[in-house]
Amino acid sequence: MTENELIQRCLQHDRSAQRLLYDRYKTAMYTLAYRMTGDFDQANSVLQDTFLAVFQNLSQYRSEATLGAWIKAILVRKAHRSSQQTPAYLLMETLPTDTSSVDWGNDAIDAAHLEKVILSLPEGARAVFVLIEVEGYTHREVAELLGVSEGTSKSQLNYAKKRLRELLKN
Amino acid sequence: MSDLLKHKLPTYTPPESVWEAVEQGLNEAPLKEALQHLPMHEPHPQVWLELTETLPTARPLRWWRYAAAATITGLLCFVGYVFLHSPSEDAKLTYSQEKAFPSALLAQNEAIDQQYEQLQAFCETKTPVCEKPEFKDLKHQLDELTIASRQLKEALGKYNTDASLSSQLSDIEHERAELLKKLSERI
Repeated sequence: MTENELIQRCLQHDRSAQRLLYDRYKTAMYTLAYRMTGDFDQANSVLQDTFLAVFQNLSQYRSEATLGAWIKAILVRKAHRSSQQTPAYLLMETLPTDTSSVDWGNDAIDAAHLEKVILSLPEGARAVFVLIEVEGYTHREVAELLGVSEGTSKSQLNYAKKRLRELLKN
Repeated sequence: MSDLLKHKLPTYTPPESVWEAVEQGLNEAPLKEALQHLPMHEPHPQVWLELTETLPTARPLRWWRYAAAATITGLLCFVGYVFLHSPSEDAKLTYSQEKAFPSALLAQNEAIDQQYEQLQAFCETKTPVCEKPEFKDLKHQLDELTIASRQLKEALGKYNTDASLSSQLSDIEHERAELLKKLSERI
C-alpha cells in the first residue's frame, strides 16, 4: 500500500490502516521520544499523544514534507512540551556559551553506553543534541521546533558535546 | 592561454574556520559512528490499545439510511396517489367551464337542419309512420324547437357574440338532436 492510499484510508477512520501507519513509524518515533525525554513512561505518553494528534489532524497534512517528517515534528514538540513540565528541565539560556571544539579521541565509543550518557544530559541540551546529531535537523529547524533562538541551539549543542565527552572519559 | 590566466587571475585562501570545521568533523568520527548504532526501542502494546480507545471509530456504511429514505418517499408517493385518485363522497360537485367554438356549433346546427329537412321530406310523402300520434307529438316538439332555433340564430346575427344566446341555442340544438334520434328510430 502506498503512503497516499494509507493516508486516505486513515482519513476514513479505517482502524487497520491506522494500525499500519502506527506500526510503520512507532519504533523510530518511540525511540526519539525516549531519547528526548529520557523516560520510557513519558515516551509512551508522548507517542500516544503524537499519534492521536496525527490521526486527528491528518487532513491537514500536505505533501510538502514526508509523512515521517511531519509526524516527527509533531512528536518533537510534544516531547519538548512534556519535558518542560518536569522540574528537572534545565533552562537553555543558563548554559555557558563556549564554542571550542571537542576532541573525541580515536577510540570507538560503545553505542549502548553512549545512549546512557546522552540520557544523563540536562533535558534541554539532550533535546538539541538528539535532534541535530541523531535526527539531522539544522539549528534553524531546532530553534523553530523548540521555540528558542539559533544561538541557544548552538550553545546547547556545544555544551552537550563537552558534557558527553567528560562523561564518556569517566 | 590557460597558463597565462592561471598566473594573472588572483587566488584566495579559505578562512581558518573551514579547517576547524573539517577537523571537528574528523574528531567527531567516533561519536558519529556510535550514534549510528544507538539502540532502538519498541513502544509498549498498551500504547496502541489506549490510542484506539480515544480514536473515533470508522463511520458505518450509510446505505441503509438511503434505502429507508427511498422507501419512505415511495410510500408517501403511493399514499398521495391513492388519496388523490380515490372516489370521495365529498367530491360530488365538479365545476368546469367550456368555451364553445362558434364555427363548430354552426357546423353541428347545419347537420341537424339537414336531418330535419330530410325528415320533413320523408313525412311529406304521406309515410304511415308519420301519422302515428307518438311520432306526430315528437315531430311537433321538433318543429317548435326548430322555429326557436331559427329565431335565436337571427338574434345572434352573423358574428354570434352573445354568450347567453349561444348557450340557449346549444341547448335547443341538443334537444333537437335528441328528438331527431327518437324519430329516426321510429322510421
